[in-house]
Amino acid sequence: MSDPGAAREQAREILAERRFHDHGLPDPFRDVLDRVAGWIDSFLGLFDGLGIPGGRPVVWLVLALIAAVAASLIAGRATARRRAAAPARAAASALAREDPEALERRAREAAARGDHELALRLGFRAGVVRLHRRGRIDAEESLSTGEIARAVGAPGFDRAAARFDEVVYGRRPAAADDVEAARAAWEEALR
Amino acid sequence: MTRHPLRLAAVLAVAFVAIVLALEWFAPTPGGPAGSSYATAPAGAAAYAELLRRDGREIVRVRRPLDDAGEIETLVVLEPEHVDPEEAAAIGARVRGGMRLVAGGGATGWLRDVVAEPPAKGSGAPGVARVTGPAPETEGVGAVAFRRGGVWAQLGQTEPLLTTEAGPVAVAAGQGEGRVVLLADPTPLLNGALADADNAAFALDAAGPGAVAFLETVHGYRDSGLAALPDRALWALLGLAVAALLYVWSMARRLGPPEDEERELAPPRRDYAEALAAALEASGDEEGVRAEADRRLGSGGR
Repeated sequence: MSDPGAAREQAREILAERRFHDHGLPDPFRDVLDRVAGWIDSFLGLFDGLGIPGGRPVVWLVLALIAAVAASLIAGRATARRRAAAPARAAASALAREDPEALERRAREAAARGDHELALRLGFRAGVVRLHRRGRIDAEESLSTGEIARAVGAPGFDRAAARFDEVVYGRRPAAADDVEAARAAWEEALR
Repeated sequence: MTRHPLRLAAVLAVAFVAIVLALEWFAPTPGGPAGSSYATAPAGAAAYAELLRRDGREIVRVRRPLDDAGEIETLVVLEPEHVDPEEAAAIGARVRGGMRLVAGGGATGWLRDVVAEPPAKGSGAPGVARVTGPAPETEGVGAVAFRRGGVWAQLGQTEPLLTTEAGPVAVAAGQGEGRVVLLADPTPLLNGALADADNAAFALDAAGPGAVAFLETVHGYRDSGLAALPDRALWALLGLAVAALLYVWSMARRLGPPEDEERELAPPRRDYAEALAAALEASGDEEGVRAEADRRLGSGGR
């Protein structure tokens, strides 16, 4: 048999411990979490009256499936957008990083050692970088030579592009004349 | 705006969790499942366990199936959401073998496996209960406060111990070698009302003289490993694991090497020109082709 007074005093002592009391500090996170939990509970409560076979586990399963489908659709669209934008961003940033003077110097060095195709390629790239820097072409998207020609509208570029295409895409062997002619054409196009 | 919104969101989420954990560590908030001897919230029974411990009893938390648990002198089952039929049968067998059971609140259907004719619950207002008749659980007890309400509307095989104006709120019965004490309203044993009236003395006497075990499996606790986590935490972890797997899967390349070794180029234009020439030759209209080529070259077309 226990002494009621002593047992009550012991219980009060235990319940006075810190762990049984709110700390009194503001706890905005708990309030937010409690509110969110309340919303979820109210939302799930809407289904309780519908008599769904299986009850709340089935509701959770259906909600999880809906969330998975929605996440899949959103992720798919985001991935597609990123894939579409990546080459354009890469092209623009590559052009912005290029130094046309360095490219032209390397082109001269390549021509001096007889690598005319490389000289033609480097000279063409230097020209495109200068066009980009002067705002005459928009490198946000990948451009073909024909698209640049239409944007620039300069006969000099047409001639430089024709030689470039013949050598690079048509696999015609390049000669010193090609390099010189392309350089002259570029000077005219960039005027 | 940051260039990495996902990274910012992850940092904010980690900071949120860290602040919440720090708050809980330095300034804990009472919580825990109702009826659990771990719970410090008003509906918990941590104070009851501590009261018994200070009274010199050995306290055990049962977090495994009763068939695997050792000898138990007194088992306390408070506010169970659900009791598995196997567990209910094991409790019944142990009671008949000499164990004392103190139970209250939550589900009551499982009592059919423990008491041959169990009492049936009904509604009733909360109030202060008086001792109904002489019993070892209520010796020296004057008044016990019940805060929630509810009565035993039908006593079945049991005898009333405590009665409020609404009706019997605590009953007891001998079953085989053992004894059961059943509360229609468990609040006298819970933190929120343990220090009220003579609740603490009743709580000590209801548990009997020996070691006391609290059945924690009914509150979702298990013994070790992942099973030791409450069911809700396990579901949350499972959801996080699935989300992490989906994230890894979404970031991985579907097929092929991790990265293309070189940029894929368009085929040489010469291939196109030769294919076009072959098509024109196959037409057999040499004159027409020549005339068209002359016309275009003459006009400066390419």
